[in-house]
Amino acid sequence: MKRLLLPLIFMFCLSASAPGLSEALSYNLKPVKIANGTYLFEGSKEHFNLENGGNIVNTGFIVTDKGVIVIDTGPSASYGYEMYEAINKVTSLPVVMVIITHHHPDHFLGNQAFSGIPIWALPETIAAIRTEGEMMSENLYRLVGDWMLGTEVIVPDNSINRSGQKIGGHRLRFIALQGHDNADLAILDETTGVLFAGDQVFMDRAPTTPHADIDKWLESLDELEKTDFRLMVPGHGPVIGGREAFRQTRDYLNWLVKLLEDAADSGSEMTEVMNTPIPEKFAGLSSVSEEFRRSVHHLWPDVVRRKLPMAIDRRSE
Amino acid sequence: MGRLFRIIILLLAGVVHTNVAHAGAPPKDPFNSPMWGWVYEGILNEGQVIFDNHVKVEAPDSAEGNFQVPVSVRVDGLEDVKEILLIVDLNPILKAARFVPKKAAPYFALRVKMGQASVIRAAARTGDGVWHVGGKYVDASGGGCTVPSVQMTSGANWESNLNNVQAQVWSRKNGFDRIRTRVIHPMDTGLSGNIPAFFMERLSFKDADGVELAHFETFEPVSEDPVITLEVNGGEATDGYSITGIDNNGNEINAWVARKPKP
Repeated sequence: MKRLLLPLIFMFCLSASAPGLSEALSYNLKPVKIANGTYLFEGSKEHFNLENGGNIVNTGFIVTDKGVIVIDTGPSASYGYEMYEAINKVTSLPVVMVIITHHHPDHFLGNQAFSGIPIWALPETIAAIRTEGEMMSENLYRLVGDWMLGTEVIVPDNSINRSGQKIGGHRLRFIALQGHDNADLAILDETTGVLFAGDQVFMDRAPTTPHADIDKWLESLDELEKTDFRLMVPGHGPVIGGREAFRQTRDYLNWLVKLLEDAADSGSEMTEVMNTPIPEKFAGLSSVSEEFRRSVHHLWPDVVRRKLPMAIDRRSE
Repeated sequence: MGRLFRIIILLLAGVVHTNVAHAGAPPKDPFNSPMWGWVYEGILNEGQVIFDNHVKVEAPDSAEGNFQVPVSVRVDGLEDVKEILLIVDLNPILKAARFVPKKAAPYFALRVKMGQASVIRAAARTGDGVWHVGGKYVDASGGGCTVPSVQMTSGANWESNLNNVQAQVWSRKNGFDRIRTRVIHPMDTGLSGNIPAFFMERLSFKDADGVELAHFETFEPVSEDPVITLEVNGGEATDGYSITGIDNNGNEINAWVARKPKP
């Protein structure tokens, strides 16, 4: 009896857990060449879920004469390892440098795959990963499950505090910005004209706002749009040559801010604001309904704090 | 027959036993919450319960962060609502607030902390003693109740702003006044290391003559710097509202908001 029961119990445990234990999970990452020596892994435009495993993000790499520069490492250790393997199929040159654009979990949790290689980020990004990295990693486990197995937070070990670097025939400009996150790094490869914009710019996908300062973000968009790029890699959504992604991101943020401020002025409360219908104009943006509700979560408490007038204090009477 | 098998039988017997013990007592919970029995016995005092669509709880499907999860409760189509309890089943402290509407609409909105994914319930007691219960399941990550408030840890001088009140009044088309108020208070739960429970216990709304229109009893799970919205009837009779209350350390709240702010 015992001999029969144990396997049965085991089978029950297996079938009750998240998908993926029986089959190996793979992101099936395929690098797409977008410019000379420059490759992109394009993610889906969805929010995190059990099917996409967190692959909702654009990461990339540049093959220079002196080795490979990786830009962002994706949402999990296994994503990072898959990246690493895919890079090795493109070039026999070693990865010499990893750059993290900002501290959101879909951009740095693949760092493990690049152990021993210097990982660079803005100092504010390093500090934020140090304090919030574990919490964000735990939350991603909750959202995408087994895809995260074995993922640990690796804090970048090198601060970017200069405006650029020449490496292996490529001249990179580091543009330090703020607004989408507490610190956002954009990288312009002046040699190829490719701008890795990080999450400052979203294309055909609703912007995300968990640490956003919208005023600073709009300023940063203006600054970034002035750069002399030929091709832009947004943090999320397809690569684009023109300025359309800037317009989309700016329009959406402006609408969001005005909507929240008007709602606060007219006395709406938070769940009512969350149920606001999305205007036609933005209906085509991927994930817009869920991102809008998430943004109300992020931004509304501060709008109310700023907008609500002081009552008359009667405690001294 | 191995020992393992006997253990399984015993476990099954235990499940059956607990079901039998309370069979017929609490009605079946549509949310299948493991804490429903506790809520029924410990908070609703085994009173008569109806799961009732007239009690509408609005909250997001998924909480984005655990510290400021918005909830609104509206009781629609039930007369004589005496009180409404707000309960988060899987929080370490279940009861978030008790609202006594008196001359207010059976409606309020506030924000709560959540320790993990849970059903958020509203239980409205009508004059006949029946609890009308509605709810909404909200997904959330862990930790909202065992983390100290921002003001306690930020080093900010929170004491100088404690119990300061922000407020505004909007006249609604239905003749009600909507009042939104924000009170500066850390609302510490006492569940994070070395910071004792410190929270607003009561917030009362009165007209110019001092007649109470509604009051809230608030508990630890209400979010830091509580923002509370309610709707009171017969606004034209008063030129404003007094907002008074107290926290569990005896600190007083006392403010006044005019119906129409000076231009």
